[in-house]
Amino acid sequence: MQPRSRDFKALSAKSMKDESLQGALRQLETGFVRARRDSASALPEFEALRDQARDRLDDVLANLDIHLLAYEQKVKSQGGHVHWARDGKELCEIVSKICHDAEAKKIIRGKSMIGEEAGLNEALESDGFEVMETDLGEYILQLSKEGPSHIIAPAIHKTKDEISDLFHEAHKAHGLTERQSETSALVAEARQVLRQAFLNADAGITGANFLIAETGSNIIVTNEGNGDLSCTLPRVHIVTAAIDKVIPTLEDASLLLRLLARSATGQEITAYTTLSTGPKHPDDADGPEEYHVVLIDNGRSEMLGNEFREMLRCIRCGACMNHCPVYGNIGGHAYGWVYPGPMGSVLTPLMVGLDEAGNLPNACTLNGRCQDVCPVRIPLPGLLKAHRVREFESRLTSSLVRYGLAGWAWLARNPVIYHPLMNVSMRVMAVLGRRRGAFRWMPFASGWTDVRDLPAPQGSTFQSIWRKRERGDS
Amino acid sequence: MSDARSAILEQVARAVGRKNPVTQINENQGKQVAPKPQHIRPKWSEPDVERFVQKLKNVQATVETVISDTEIPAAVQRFLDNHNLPAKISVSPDPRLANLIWPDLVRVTSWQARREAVVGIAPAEAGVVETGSVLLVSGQTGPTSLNFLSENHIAIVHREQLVAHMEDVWELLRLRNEDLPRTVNFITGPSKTADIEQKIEYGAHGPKRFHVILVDGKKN
Repeated sequence: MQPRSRDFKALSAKSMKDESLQGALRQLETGFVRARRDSASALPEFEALRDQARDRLDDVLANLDIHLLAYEQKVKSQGGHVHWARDGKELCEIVSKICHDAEAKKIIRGKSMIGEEAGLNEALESDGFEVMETDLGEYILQLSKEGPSHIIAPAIHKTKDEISDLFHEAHKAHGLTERQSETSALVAEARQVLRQAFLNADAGITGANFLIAETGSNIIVTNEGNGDLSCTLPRVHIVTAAIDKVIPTLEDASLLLRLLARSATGQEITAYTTLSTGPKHPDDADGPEEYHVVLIDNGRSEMLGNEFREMLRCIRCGACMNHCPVYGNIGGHAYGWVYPGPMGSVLTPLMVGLDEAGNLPNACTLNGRCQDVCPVRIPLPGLLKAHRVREFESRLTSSLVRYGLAGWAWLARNPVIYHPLMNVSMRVMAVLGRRRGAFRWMPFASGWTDVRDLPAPQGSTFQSIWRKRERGDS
Repeated sequence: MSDARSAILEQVARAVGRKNPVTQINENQGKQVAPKPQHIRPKWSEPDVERFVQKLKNVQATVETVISDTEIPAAVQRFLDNHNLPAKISVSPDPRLANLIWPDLVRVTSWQARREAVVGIAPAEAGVVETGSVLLVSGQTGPTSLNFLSENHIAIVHREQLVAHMEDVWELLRLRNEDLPRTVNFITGPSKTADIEQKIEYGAHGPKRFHVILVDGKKN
C-alpha cells in the first residue's frame, strides 16, 4: 500500500466532515472501550498479567535471534519451510514463488496486517494469481478497493448501506441478484460466496498472532473461523509473520492470550484459537500438504537496537486506537498507511520514513490513555515524543516551528525577561477578554481560534500567585 | 533467500549487543535462555462444571449434560428437533464414537458429505474451565474441517476431561511425547463477526451453532 501519510492534515480534515465515519467512531466508546473495561475489571489478575507480559517479552526480545533460530529449527524438523524476508518486497516475491512452485492459482487470505504492510494482494494479483480475502471486513475492503481503517475491525468506517451496494454489485456474478439490506442477510451472502472460495482454493495465506519456538507452531485467533478454513482446506498453507511474533513456550502463549482478546474486543477468548504445526501428518484426515512460514523484518531488527525496542512488544490488539481521542475523531484512513492510532504513529514513520509520516507523532495530545490500556505497557506517548525529537534533530520540522521553539526556549530560560513579560501579557489579555471571558480571535493563534474560543486568563500567572502564597499574602 | 536470513540475524545480534551473529544453535539453547515460565493463572471460586457450562452459555453456545455415552444419540436427536434440522449427521470417524447406536439418524462419512454437513459431531480432547473452551485436535480420525464446515457443530466433552487452564492442555499435549497434532483448536462458541457496523452476527464462516454434550458420568 502506497503511503499517504504526507497528506495527514488534509485527510484528517476530510475525515472530520465524514458523517458516516463520525457515526462509526462514536460507537467505539460504547463498544470496544466499554467491553475492554468490563472484561479487565472482571479479572483480578489482569494488571499483574500485564506486568508479567511486559517483563517476559522484554526478556524474549533480548535473545530474539536465539528464539528465531529455535523456532526455525523446530518448524523444519516437522517438515515445514521457513523463509526470511528483509522487507515487504522480498516477502511478496517469496510468497509468489511458493505459490508458483506449488502450481497454486487460487489463493485465499486470512486477515493479516503483515499482508497489508507488504502489499501482498496487489503483488500476487499482478503476478497473475487470483486472491480473495476471507475475513468479512477485509473482504468488504477488497471489494471497495480500500485499506483497513482499524487493525482488528478493518471495515469499521463502512456503513451497512455501502456494504449492501458493494455486495449487490459484486455478487451478481454468483447469481445473487437481490440487494440485501439486513446484516444477517449480508453475512449469509458473504458466507455463501466465500464458502465456494474456501473449497476451491489451492493455497491459504494467514498471519500469526504468535510463533512458538518450543513447538514450531503458529497461533491465530479469530471469531469468524475464516482463518481456520484458510489453513485447513487448501493444499498449501503459508504463514506471513514478523520476527517479533516469536515467543519461547506454550505458557507464554497462554499468558498473552489472556490479555489479547480482553484488550481488543473485551472477550475472554475469541471463538477460535488455533495452533498450526507443520504440514498434515501422513495419516491425517485433512490438512495442507505444504507448510511455509515467511518471516519479515521490515525495520524491526533496527528498532530492536534503538529507542523504539519496546514497540516490539506490541501484540496488535488495537486498544490504543480505541482509546485515542485523535483516532476517535479522524479514524484510521487519515493516518495514510496500514497502521493507525498511537501504535501506527510510532510504527509508520519507522517503516515508511519520518519525512513521509512526520506529522503522525505530532498528532498526539500526550493524554496517555493509550499507555494506560496497552496490555504490554508500551510507553506510547514517550515513543511519540522520541519521534518528535528525531524530527526536530533531523531538521524536518518547518522553520517557523523551529525558530518559534528556539525563541520560546531562550525566553523560558531567562526568567528575568520571562516573568515580567508573562505578567504583563496575562494582565492585558485579562482586561481585553473580560467582557466575553474568552477570545474569538487572536493573532498567530488562528489554528486554535478558528475552531474554538480561547478562554481569557484571570489576570496573573501561576508563578506570581504561588510567590504571593509563599510570602503568606493570600 | 539465505542472504536475507543472515542479514536479519546479523542486525538482530547487533541490536541485542552480541559481538558475533548467531546463525545456528543447538537444540537446547532456546530452552536455556528462556526456561519454561510459571505465569499467573486466574483463580475462581465457583465449581468447575458450573463455570465451564456458564462460560459456554455466555458466548451463545448451548450445553446439555447427560449421564453416560449411551445417551449421546438421544441428546443429538433433541438438538436436531429443537432446531428443526434434518436427521442426517456427519460423525467424526473417531473410535470413541464408534460404539454409539444412532437409531433414527442417517450417518454420512464421505468428504463430500463433510463439505455439506448440516450437523457435525466430534469428540473433544479436553474442556478448559477457565474460558469454557473445547479442545479438538487433528489426526487420522480427527478431521479439522468438520469443526468449521458444519453449519451446526456438536462437541462431546466428558467431565473427567475438564482441566482448569490452557496450561493444563499444554501439559496434556506434551504427554503425547511426539510433535503436536497438525491442528489444535480451542473452540469457544459459534462463529461470529462484528465487521458490519460493530453488530454481532453468528455463523460468519464457521458453525452458526456450537453445542456441547457434557457426559457427566454419574447420577445426580
